[in-house]
Amino acid sequence: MLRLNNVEVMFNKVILVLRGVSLHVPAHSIAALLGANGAGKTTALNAITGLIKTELGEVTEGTIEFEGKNLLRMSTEEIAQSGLVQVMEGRRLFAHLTVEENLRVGARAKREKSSMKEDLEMIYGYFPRLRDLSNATAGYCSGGEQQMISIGRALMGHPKMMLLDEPSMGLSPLLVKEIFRIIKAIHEEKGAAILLVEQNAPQALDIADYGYVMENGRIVLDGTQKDLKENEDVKEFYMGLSEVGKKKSYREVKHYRRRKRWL
Amino acid sequence: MAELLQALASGLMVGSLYSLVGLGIVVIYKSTHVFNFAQGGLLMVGAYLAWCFMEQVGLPIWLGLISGLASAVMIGFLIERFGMRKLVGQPILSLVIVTLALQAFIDGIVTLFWGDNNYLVYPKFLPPNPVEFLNIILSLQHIIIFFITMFIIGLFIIFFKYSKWGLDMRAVAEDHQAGMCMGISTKMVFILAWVISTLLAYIGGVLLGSINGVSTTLHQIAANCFPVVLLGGLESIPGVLIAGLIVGILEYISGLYLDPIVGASTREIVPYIILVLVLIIKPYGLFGLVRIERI
Repeated sequence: MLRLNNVEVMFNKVILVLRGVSLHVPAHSIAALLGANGAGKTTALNAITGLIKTELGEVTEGTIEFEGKNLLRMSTEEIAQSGLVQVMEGRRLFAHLTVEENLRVGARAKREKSSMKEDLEMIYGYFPRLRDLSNATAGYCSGGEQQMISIGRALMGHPKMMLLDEPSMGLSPLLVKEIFRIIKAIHEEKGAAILLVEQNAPQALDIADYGYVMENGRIVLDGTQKDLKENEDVKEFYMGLSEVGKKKSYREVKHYRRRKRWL
Repeated sequence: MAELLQALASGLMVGSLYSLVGLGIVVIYKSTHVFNFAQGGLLMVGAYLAWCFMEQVGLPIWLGLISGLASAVMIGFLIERFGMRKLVGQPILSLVIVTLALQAFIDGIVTLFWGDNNYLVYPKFLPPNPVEFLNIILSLQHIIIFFITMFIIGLFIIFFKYSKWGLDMRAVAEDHQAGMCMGISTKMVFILAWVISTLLAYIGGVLLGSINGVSTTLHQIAANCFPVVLLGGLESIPGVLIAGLIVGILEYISGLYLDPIVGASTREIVPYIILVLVLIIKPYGLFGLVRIERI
């Protein structure tokens, strides 16, 4: 459904941020994009939706396709209207609008006709807490509520695919669980494909079918949920699991770095 | 007492025009965060255009007004398309400076076509006969203008609160990128903002012109609108409405009570003094949107 092929992104014509990223998200699946801070995860998402153009960035090489359409030639709003909606990092609500107004704005990306009332009911079905808040100013809601509004807003557009940028950011473990449960439910009921960018690898891999690991603007590792969960490097660096108390030889660290890769 | 009432009434009339012109600045600021210094120029060029269509071209009054309206919309579109669009993504300050340049440009154009400082008069389209009410004498023209401006401002409050386009404009004003991600065309929003703003400037220009006659001093009215806009809080439409009325009334009251003491006209400075006092207490203006910061 979404296919990135050897994408290079440069900012200001000098800073190379993505150095050839290729990934593929099939229809009706969840893919996780993992990696540390500064690995280029958000830049990859912004490249897909064209937001990098507003930040003086450009895709200098490679192709990005969504359902066979070349996204590089489309503007951000056209991309959103074609059914690919990004939930930006840090929630990015319209802070002075009410919760319901925020959701209404989300319906702009809708392609088919459906009643606004039913759509709002659907959102309130997934996030019951938002119903009571519908007339509250969005900016004063709590972090978890804001994340719900942010996801709900994207969902109002009936997306074929959602790009979720760190939905767990700044939330308590319990809320993270809750949000991921809802994401999974949305995926199953709506059948929308999801590309999930996360630092919280264990949570992300719980719901993803396939995962990619990024580092320094490259994809260094990819595999199915099962493969990645069992991969020693991922366990150690992204899930924080290691054999405690044992002496560690740094020679064994990050085997994949020494393996030649052709991605 | 009659004097005071008279000052209040006259202040309301003038204030409503300030609100109308200020609303144009607010609409642009709300959606693009650009403070439009050219609002006075747009107002002036609108007034001249209406005069040109009615007197020079010789169209009937209603047709002249509509032609003027259409050309004002055109001007707004052209400014956005060829002036502002190129600068999207540049620092806001450069866009603000462009509006200053626009003001100078419009000044030049108007002087070029219609000469300097000649008072031109519209054919009468609003009845000027005086009306007496509670010992106050007001011209019917002023009363009609007051209700026209109130009606238009009310219309815009409803437009921004309930219409789809109004919601889009408020959303884009908050966050351009997030707006784009939701599928809103920011270009359309910017065009709409400039068209609405020039439209308001045109209406304000014609109404002012019908009171005072059309001249190059018209753009100075906008200088009185800057404190109005800041007092109202830059982003609030009800704010600019109330601030306009406050400033209008204060001007007339200071004219009534302060002028004899000072021995000179205080009308021009009083709005700024009030503005400074209010901003000390409420830095975002009376109804400005307080930045929502959560830590």
